Amino acid sequence: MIRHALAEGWLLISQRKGVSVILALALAVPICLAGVALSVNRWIAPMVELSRAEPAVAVLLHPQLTEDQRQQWLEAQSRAHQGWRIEAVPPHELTQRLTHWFPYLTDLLEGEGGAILPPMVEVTSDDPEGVAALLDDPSVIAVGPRSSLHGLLRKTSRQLGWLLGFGSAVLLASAGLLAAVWVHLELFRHGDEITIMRLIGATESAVRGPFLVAVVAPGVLAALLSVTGTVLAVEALSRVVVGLGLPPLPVAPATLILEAAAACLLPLAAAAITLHRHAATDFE
Amino acid sequence: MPNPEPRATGAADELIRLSNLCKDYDHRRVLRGIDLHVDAGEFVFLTGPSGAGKSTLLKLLYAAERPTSGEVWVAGHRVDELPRHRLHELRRRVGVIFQDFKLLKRKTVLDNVTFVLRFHGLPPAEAQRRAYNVLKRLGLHHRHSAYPESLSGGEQQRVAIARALAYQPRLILADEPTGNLDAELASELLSLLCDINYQGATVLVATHDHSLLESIPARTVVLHQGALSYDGSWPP
Repeated sequence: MIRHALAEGWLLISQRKGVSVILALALAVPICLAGVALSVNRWIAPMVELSRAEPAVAVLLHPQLTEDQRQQWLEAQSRAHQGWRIEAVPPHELTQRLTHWFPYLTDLLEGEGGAILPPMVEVTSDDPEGVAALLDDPSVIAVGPRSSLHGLLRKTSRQLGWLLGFGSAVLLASAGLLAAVWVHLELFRHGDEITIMRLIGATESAVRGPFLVAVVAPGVLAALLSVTGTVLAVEALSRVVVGLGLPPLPVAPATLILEAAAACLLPLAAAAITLHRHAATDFE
Repeated sequence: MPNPEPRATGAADELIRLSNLCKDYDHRRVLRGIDLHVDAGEFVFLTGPSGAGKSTLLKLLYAAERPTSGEVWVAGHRVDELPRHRLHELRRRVGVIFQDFKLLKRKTVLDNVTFVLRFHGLPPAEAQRRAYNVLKRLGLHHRHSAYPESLSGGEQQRVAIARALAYQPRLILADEPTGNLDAELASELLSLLCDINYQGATVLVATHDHSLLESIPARTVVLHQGALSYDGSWPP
């Protein structure tokens, strides 16, 4: 039965080689784009994650403050601002946190070797702009970034994540629709043949097998094309973003597996459903 | 040498039984309460004017249609209640010669006949050998590599017959089998069907050609406006 399906399926494909290749390409393009969109979505995931965190603002205190003065200042601020959560950065994390919040100090920090690092606190608040008012306090020498640019970046990355996720879903759905229409037309073209096969005693598996093989083959080709296309496109995008000083885009194996599965299973599912419906309506 | 007459049958086992069979198309009754028994080994003509319901009755026998009411029994199996996934079991016991041939256009003459034998589980070489022999018997072996579209109507008809005979079914249903043949070929075909009948197969031939009925003595069932109006020897 499998030999019959393979032989007859190959016969169907060989009669429409050009169409099979074009349809494989047509199927590969939206799936490949969906794969690229998913890869970009994965790449911006840390930024999206960041946007979910509560907004925090770094505050640099005067380096001349004594330990007692710092403690008094922290207690005074906590009393004055009930909604704030103020946390002193421990000395062993100071260099790393200073570099994170004040990247323009990196050269200075490296030059000084961390000898006169100012104490720093992180203030978590729903109102980051309110924290900026601390600049008027003589104990404070700088307040870290809390500009609308950061918020905008976070918001944009989150929206981009949704957009790419939605785009991937739409592209996969369009690939599925394309496969369904293609299979439907192919089966319509062979409708008489299928009916004859049933009338002369072929089992349903003997009738359906060749058509399933005939749609899986372009699906496999589409899987190879879309996976290759995604890898190449993501590598090209990576080169661009690395040139901008950003981390490279990852090519997740899960994305490639999803693409291959979609390319093979979408036409297969479309064929199975259409053949089932054809069988149901053939002898009413 | 083909046998010129159908086989004489005595009391034998019942192969076809139709009980109070009715068929409607869009609220138009095509068959009205048909009761019919055909014994194994019989040769039966089914005749009547166009639209009398001959083709519909044959379709009900190989389950291409479902009756509106009544029962269809073939070889002890209730055909009208067979689930769709078991229809192939019935169709492998029944050889059908279709009025419009129903040949697979993208297969050669030999492949059309081999194809059906492969469904019956024959290995490829054996299926091809047997298909070639059947074609030879019908004088079509020299066209075995031709495609149906390049054949004349009569040749296509003979391929359809070869396909129906290839797996030696117990029952042959022929729907206007001589419709596309000249008088000489029609006579040859009839002889062939008689020969198959003589070898034990039951043959049911639907035709409106009265000259065919007169050419051999056989049981004749007449349908008129969907009802059975005569059952006996021809002429009435």
